[in-house]
Amino acid sequence: MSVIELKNISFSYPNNPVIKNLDYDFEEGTVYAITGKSGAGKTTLLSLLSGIMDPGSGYIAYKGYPIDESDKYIYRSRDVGVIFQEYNLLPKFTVRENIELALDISGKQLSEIGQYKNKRQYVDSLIREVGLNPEEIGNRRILHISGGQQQRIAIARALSFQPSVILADEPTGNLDLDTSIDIMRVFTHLAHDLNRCVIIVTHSPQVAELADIRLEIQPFSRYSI
Amino acid sequence: MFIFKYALKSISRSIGRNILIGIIVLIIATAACIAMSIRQAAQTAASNSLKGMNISAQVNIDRGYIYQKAKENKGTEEMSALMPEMMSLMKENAIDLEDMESYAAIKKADSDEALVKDYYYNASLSINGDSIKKYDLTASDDDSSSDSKQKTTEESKTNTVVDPQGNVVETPTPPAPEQQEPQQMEKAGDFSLVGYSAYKAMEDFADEENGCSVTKGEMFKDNTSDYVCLIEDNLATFNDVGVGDSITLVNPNNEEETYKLEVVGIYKNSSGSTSEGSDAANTIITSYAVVKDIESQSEKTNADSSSDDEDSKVLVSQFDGTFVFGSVDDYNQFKEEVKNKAVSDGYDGDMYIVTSGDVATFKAGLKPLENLKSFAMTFLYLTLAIGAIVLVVISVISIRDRKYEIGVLAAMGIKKFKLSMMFMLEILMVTLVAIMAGIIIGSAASVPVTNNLLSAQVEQQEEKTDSQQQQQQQPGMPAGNMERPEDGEVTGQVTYVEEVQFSVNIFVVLEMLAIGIGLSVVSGFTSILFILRYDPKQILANRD
Repeated sequence: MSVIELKNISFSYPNNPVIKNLDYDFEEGTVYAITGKSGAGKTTLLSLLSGIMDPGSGYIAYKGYPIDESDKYIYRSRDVGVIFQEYNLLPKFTVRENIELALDISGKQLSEIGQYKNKRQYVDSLIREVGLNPEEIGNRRILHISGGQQQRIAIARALSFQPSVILADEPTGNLDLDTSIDIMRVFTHLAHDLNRCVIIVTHSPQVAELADIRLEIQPFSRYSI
Repeated sequence: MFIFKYALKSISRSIGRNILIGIIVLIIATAACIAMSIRQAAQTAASNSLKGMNISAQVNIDRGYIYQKAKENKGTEEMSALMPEMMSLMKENAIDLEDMESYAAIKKADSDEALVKDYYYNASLSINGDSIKKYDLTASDDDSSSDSKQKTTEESKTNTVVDPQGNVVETPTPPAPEQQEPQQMEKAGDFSLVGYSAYKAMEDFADEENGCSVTKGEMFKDNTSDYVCLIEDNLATFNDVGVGDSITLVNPNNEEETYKLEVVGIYKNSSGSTSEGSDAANTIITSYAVVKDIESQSEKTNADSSSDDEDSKVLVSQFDGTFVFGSVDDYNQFKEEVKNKAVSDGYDGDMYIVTSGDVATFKAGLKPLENLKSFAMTFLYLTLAIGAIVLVVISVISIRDRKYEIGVLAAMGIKKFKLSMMFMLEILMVTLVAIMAGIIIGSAASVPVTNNLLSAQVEQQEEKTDSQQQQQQQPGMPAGNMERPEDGEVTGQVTYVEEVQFSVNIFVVLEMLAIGIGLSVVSGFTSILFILRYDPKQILANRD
């Protein structure tokens, strides 16, 4: 079943058309890998999918309904989890606080998420899920953990409110191959076992290999499967 | 709820910036608290002193108005030509007992109750002694003393006045409305026979220590028609007169016309004026009824000369009334009503003025505190303005530093309204804590600081008053130079408010909180303007 549909979307930066008349449906329970050369528009496509940017023309529909301006905040906070290339964690907060903040912004109650005693137990389970020890780094500020750890925390944060769609911009960019494969297993589990739609932008052919569907973005939206 | 939680966390994680904001707000709050405490102290001092204060006031003819009227009537500015007209106008419009009773009947607004709580009056005559001589320590012999007295009186009736064109003219002084000197052209007597309507009208007897008190005999009954009197201790000793003796007074213009009064008491005047001059000792006190009876007897005796004639021999008394009010509000309303009544009676509303030495003295006592209040309030507004500007600048710098944080939070889907509230809450919490600390420090410091500043103000005010008095005493000082105070001249010793006890109350605390919220809104609003402008994608892209 389609979870996100791109309906004839186009997008241009000033004097620089990037995407032109793109149509595509992203399905639930699938891991997508978007590849392409630098400047092809991969990150732009991800920004459009996350609702951070609006297409110049056409529209994006979530579960059959076009995302309009009033829905955008709900869509961004509850339905789509974004893992940014630069992680975009808040440096003055601790690891746990960064994850908990995303859950709080979504407005989802712990009871909707699962059987957890409290938020801390749930947050710690997420930290473990991305292969880190919560007792060791849970109370550390973001600036006091390594780049690789930050990337994993960014993933844990995106998963915290259990969004239907996970968008990841180079989620394994700073990780070694083994860890990258571990992270990809997490995404595959989310897609195949929990029916989520995972869309990854990556340069890595090995990571792309692990996805269910590979989309290669070419300038002006020519993509191939 | 999470907004509150994260605002708190954000404050604790940016402690340096928030301490800076806190210190600025603390300084503003402390200064504001002290300024408002001074204002509160002034209000409290005024309202406490006014509570239950009986105010006595007089209705007088406005000398300035009479001067203008005389000018209009005569069409000249020559004082010598204006004086008779002014005298005539003063006489025509002089307030008598009938006027006083009609003023006393004025009702309070929306009530049948009279505005005037009480009123009393006196009438005074200038008369000579037949069986007694005037008390005068400076005189070598009786005749010369009398001559010199008369000369002095005449000399004192000239004054230097600056007319409206700026010309300095030597002119006889018009009678002061407050005193309303006898206007008859006949000879002045050695004694002043003052008849009071009641004991309460004898204001000098209210303060036994610094005023007058009966030392021998007793006070006569209120407004008795018996020919009885009280004489001053020095005068009694000078003339060897005691209680139970009689004294004979004589019309200065008609030696045949005498009046015999029994001395029922001797009074002592502690005001100190008897040692220097002789007027106070030569005041003979009797009842209003007796003075009016003497006046009517004199009119009968001198039936051949009308009191309106310039060479009249008839004794004419001078009326002086005092109204008592239970509150300043009543007094202020009365001032308005007197003007209205004058208009309804066909006079100009400015013909009569109401003055109160009590109110003038009271206001003079508050002057240093009022000056301090005015200075404090100016300082407060300045502090608030500078404080608000500094906070706005800090907010702008701070929000630019936190641009990335705003971008991340917005990208995570937090609504701009919630984001704005989060930043506003941060500022509000820091501000309120600093305001509370400012209230505590300000409360502790306000009393000593206020009293310190107040003592300097009192000193300054005393110096100013002394220099004004010296200026007034200088010969040739233009009379027109002095500004008439709204409530008349200060009577008696001014007691300055030199100390405040406690001035921070719930209203000050509430005002301080309002200031805190105001400052938060000003600086928070600046943050919000920036937040609303920011686009998350742009912020994050620029960072990359």
